Amino acid sequence: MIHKLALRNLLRNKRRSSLTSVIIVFAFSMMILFMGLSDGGHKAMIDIGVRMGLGHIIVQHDSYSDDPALQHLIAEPEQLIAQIKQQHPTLTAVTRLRVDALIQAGRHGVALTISGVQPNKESQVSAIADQKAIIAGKTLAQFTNDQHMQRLSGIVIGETLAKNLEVRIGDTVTITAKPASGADLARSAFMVAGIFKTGLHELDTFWAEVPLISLQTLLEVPNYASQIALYSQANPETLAVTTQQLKTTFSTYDVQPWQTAAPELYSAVTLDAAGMYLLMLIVYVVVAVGILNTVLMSTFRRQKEFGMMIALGSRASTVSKVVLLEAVYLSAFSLSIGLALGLWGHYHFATEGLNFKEVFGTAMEAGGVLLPEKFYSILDTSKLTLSVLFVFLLTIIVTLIPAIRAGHRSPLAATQDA
Amino acid sequence: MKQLAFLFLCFASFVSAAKTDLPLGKWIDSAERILRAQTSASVLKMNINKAEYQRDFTLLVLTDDRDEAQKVMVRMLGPALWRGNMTLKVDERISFFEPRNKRTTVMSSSMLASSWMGSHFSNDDLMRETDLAQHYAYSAQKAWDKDTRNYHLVELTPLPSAPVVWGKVLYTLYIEEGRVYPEQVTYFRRKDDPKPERTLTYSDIKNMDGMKVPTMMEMRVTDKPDEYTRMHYQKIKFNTDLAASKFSEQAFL
Amino acid sequence: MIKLTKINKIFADKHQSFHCLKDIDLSIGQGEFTVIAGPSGSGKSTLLNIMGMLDKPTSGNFLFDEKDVAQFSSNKLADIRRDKIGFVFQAYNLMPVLTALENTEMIMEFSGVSKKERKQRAIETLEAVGLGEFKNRFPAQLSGGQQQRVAVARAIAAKPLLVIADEPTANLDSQSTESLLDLMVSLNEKLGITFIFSSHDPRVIERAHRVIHLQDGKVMRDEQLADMSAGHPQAAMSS
Repeated sequence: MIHKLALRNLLRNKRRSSLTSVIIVFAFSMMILFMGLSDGGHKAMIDIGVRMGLGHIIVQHDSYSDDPALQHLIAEPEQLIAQIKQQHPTLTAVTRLRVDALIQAGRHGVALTISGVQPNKESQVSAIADQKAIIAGKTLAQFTNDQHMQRLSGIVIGETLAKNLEVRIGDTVTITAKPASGADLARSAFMVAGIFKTGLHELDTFWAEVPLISLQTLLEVPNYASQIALYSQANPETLAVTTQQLKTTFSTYDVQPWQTAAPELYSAVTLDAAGMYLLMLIVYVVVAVGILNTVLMSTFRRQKEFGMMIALGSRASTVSKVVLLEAVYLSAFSLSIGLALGLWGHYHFATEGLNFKEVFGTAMEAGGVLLPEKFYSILDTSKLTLSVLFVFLLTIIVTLIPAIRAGHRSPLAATQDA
Repeated sequence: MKQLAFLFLCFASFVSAAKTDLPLGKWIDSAERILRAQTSASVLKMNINKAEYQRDFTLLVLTDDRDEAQKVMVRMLGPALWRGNMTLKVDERISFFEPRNKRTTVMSSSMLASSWMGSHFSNDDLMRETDLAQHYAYSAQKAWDKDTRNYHLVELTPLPSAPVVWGKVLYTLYIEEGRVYPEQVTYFRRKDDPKPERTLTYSDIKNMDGMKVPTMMEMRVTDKPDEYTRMHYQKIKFNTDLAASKFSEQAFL
Repeated sequence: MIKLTKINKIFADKHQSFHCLKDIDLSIGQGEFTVIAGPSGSGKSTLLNIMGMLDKPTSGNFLFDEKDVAQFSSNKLADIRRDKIGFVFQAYNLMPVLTALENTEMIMEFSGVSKKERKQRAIETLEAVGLGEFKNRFPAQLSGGQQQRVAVARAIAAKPLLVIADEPTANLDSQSTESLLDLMVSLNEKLGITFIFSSHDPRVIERAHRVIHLQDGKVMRDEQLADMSAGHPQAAMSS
């Protein structure tokens, strides 16, 4: 009977029940939608960020982080890679040498970072070395593979850098850096093989890539590298486990996950995620207030009714249960619809993806990372389930006190005049 | 017979002259060093005329080319604001000294690109002073005579893999009384560029310490025709025995 | 069945206190058909509330079935109200969201009577009050008189010992008043259910077997108007 009473009571004031229901449905479905897009966006950010000359896991010399000098390089990187791949064959590994140097062309000179890479391997993992990023000329891999007759090694530079130096494809530029031998400066000529555009100001203006061997020669560090970057397809939890295993096995090296190697990216992602949690909090408050409001209003009007039930011999707990059930049914109903709508929206964006540019007019850069134009919604089942359960629990908690108080109405209320 | 031999000699010398046996590289080297000799001590005025500002400096410049490691020391004599600033170059190492806070800065590769004292010369120019004599292949383009001067236009193209930033340099020099004088150096970004990127002109030949040298150097950038940097030598002393200590950072203090 | 000794009820709040019932001594036996009469403000409702265990006296002794009510917990009181006492209020008797049938079944549901049995009893009771065909109507679809009848049906369907009614005919027209009274009298005669109700309507009072006149919180008169049927001993009366 209490279920009958609860349900019919909800239907008694259709307008109020519907309104509360609509509010909850809206808030909840929006929350799910944004949850999925937010998580999807983060994944996209991380994927892209990791491909901008970073990596899921970075292995360096112990002291390189504190002092990225030429004394702190990894010796025989290929050997280390072989050892790593023995333990973790699914990882993709690339070797890199990094140095701050000067690039000059004509009377222009710019201080920048040079990254010495293995052109063919790098193009598999990096968005800078990728064919898609090249707006003029060839990728470093293409240039190096075509090289046979060319004397100079190739270099790919960012679009803004090319503009600032006033260089074109085929021009010669010099790179000057301090070599390992202690001499003040070493200088080599390179031919501009390609110009890339990432959309990221820092990279487009102050970044260039050359073949690893050329840079090793210039710096007089043959068979040395600044870092080994590891890429993986695994999910974050597996990645964390792998990182830990690598740390233990290769304890003489500094093994960093991307979160510590690129803290700006990490903090951008976490900050955004925090924003999402804030949204969730708001939704919870909306639901709680909606339910509380409905419950308070409906119990306020029915004091005589409750008094009557008590007078007729019902226990206080029975009355409380009726009130509680009303809230539970309303909440369950609204949440189900909200969930269905939210999931439908998520499914749409999980398959079609959200084209950020279309919606907002510009591409979005956050935390120094350019989001790809399109990204897909991702829902974490456990997060979703917890949210639903939490809201449900919240409903009960919020209704508890009004329900208990309704049950303890004096039965005298029933005997009073209308 | 004698006439034939003479003709033959003329012919032979003509042919040999036409061969690329002209000591172009040596000429360029001599022209570049004309103001240096083995050692030199000069006072010069540098006048910088840029759109943003104009500056006039008086500088004391010491050079010592007696060893493999070439040394240059520049000290600002005026104006008062910059007096005492020093630039020291020993081989490839350049350091700067600021007297006001007694700070010595060793130049890193990133500073190479910045201009030297705000002029149209870069720190790198200071570094690569004798670049033109090293990394290029020389080809005689033209030769003509004017008065007592034997002019030559030499085209410099970078050797393969040469770490230089110019695609082509045209060097106008003349030989007078057995010495090579630079007259104009035009720097081209690319070999096929129609216009040069910058031009350095030598003028105002005077007698300094017994030697005839151009005392005015003017650097102009083609894109900014109203700007220039001029170095005007006031007096020069050649080949005095400069102590090595003058070319050390200890000399800063 | 009910024995009240020196019952006092004082209503007090921050500013004033009102001594509503003053030293009431009263006994009511099983099978009686008794009216508490008196002007408004005399304490009729308060007395009924105390007898129905809806309210507690400020002082005095209340024995129900020879047990001291003051010892009962509120849950026990609720149980007694559920099982032994039926109520008919002046208004707001019925749950608006339940049909007449469901309203009638309600108390039995609280007691845990089986679905089949309570439905059967409810239908029988509704038919006994003449509303068999309205069993699936909601209170909003019934007239005032019909609603009160359903209330009576609900009150007796649970087979209580006693039915307490506070001015049950106050909002009814004279025809409905008559038929309701007829109903209550016949139930009292046929089933032996004790009826205690309050009223100031003379037509109602004259149908009662015993009238207790209340004024200013005191019993003024206790009249016996007719023989009590159903063979239950009569309580002593005060004058």
